[in-house]
Amino acid sequence: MAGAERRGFRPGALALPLCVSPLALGWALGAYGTPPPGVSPAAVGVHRIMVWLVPLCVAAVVGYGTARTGTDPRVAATARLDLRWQWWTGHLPVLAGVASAALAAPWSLSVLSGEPYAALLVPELAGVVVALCAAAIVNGRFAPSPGAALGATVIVTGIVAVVPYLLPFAHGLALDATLANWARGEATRGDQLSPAVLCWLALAGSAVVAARFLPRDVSRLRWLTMEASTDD
Amino acid sequence: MISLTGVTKRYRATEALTRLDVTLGDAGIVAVMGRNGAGKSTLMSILAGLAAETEGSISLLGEPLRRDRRALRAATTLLPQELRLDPAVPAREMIRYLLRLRRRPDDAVADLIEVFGLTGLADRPLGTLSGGTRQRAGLVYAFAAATPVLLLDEPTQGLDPWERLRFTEHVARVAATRLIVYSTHIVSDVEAIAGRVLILEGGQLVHNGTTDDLLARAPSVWQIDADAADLAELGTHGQVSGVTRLTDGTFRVRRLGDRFSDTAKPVPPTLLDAYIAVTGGAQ
Repeated sequence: MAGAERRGFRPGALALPLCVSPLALGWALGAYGTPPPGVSPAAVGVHRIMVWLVPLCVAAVVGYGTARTGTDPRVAATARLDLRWQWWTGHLPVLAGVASAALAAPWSLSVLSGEPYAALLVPELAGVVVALCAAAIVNGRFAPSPGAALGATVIVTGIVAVVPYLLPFAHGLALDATLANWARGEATRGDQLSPAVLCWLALAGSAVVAARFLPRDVSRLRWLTMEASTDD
Repeated sequence: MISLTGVTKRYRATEALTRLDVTLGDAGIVAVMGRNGAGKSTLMSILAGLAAETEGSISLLGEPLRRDRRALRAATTLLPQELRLDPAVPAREMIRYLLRLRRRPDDAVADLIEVFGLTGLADRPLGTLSGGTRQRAGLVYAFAAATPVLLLDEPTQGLDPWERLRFTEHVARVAATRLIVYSTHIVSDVEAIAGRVLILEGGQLVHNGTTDDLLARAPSVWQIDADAADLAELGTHGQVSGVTRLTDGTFRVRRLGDRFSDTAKPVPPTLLDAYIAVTGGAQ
């Protein structure tokens, strides 16, 4: 059993959100934004924090923090539960921490900005679920290095959580319809549970299932085969 | 128990195993030998159901295995050469966790901890234990899993002579009812317990038989005493299988093949001589 360490979570990942803390602080205080008439800069800021920064931070922390952690895959692969499902069961404390933070953050920002709790919570939770699914697929199915896992998870989450607001023709794909309207200069609110939210969640869930069954058996996972043969 | 027919394993351009035909019985000890990169760990991972062959077929208990290798993984326990585990977790807890993960019974853990001399150490975090002690904790897990097949990748690495002796005794006992396949570089271990030896060289099986069969393949062995200056010369013209430093500062050299000097004396071959001869082709 001699060999390298393999912890359950990489604690250094918790420092990653500090990179965006100045931006988050500025947005929370109503800086860096030109809202449509009748909408406060702080309201725009907290929506951006909830649907952009929080999912990206979750993607970074979980993607990097869980990459190549947990039980040695050469033993974990022999468990009854498929190795790719084990990403979820093996990181339950991390998922619980993310869930707690995801539920608490909209409440505090709701109090700060006056935005309704549900209007912040629903799109934020959708973004967080997408981020977790991305981390599960990247680390459970492909098991890249921590740096590559960080990059891949953040890029995938960013495509879903941020890009639709930046492209003029993609507003219908935004997780937060209200923020999408505000980004176009319209002071109207959108549905909290929009079709885009449901579609992204369905797509994320389907991708997780596809990553589990393609390939069907773990012996066909290229990274596991390489890992199991490195002692040659 | 497990049969491999024409098994080839390729990693992109590299062929790790080439057309392997091996049949492993229900019990006994099979040693897998070979130089670094010979394909031992690839073979072990295929036997453990962690890697799929590129070509060929595998059967378990006479049933050909298709793409799904769950049956193979359930029937085997692989102890990798370097098992990576959380250093903060105590050894006993980790062993029980791994067994729970695989839904294997853990009733033998206490006895095996005693057998492998871990009493008093098993409740310390893995990170505070020496490499040899962590290796013994891995052995406790592997034997406690009690699967019909045990696959041990260099299990004696890091063990001191006493621990190796304890391991050898236990393996010999367990092998009466279970199949133990273990890879090793230590010829004395093979000599002591292995009923059968598989030798891989460049991904090909170059020996598949008993230790006596292997010994029979040894060429003539010659012994000569030489000084340091002659050592390099001896190595260039033939295969040296052993060098021992003598008290007067000279060296006793064992060389394989034809007699190369009038002063060279014939000596009986050992298993190491045979192993060196069998695997020396690509040198």
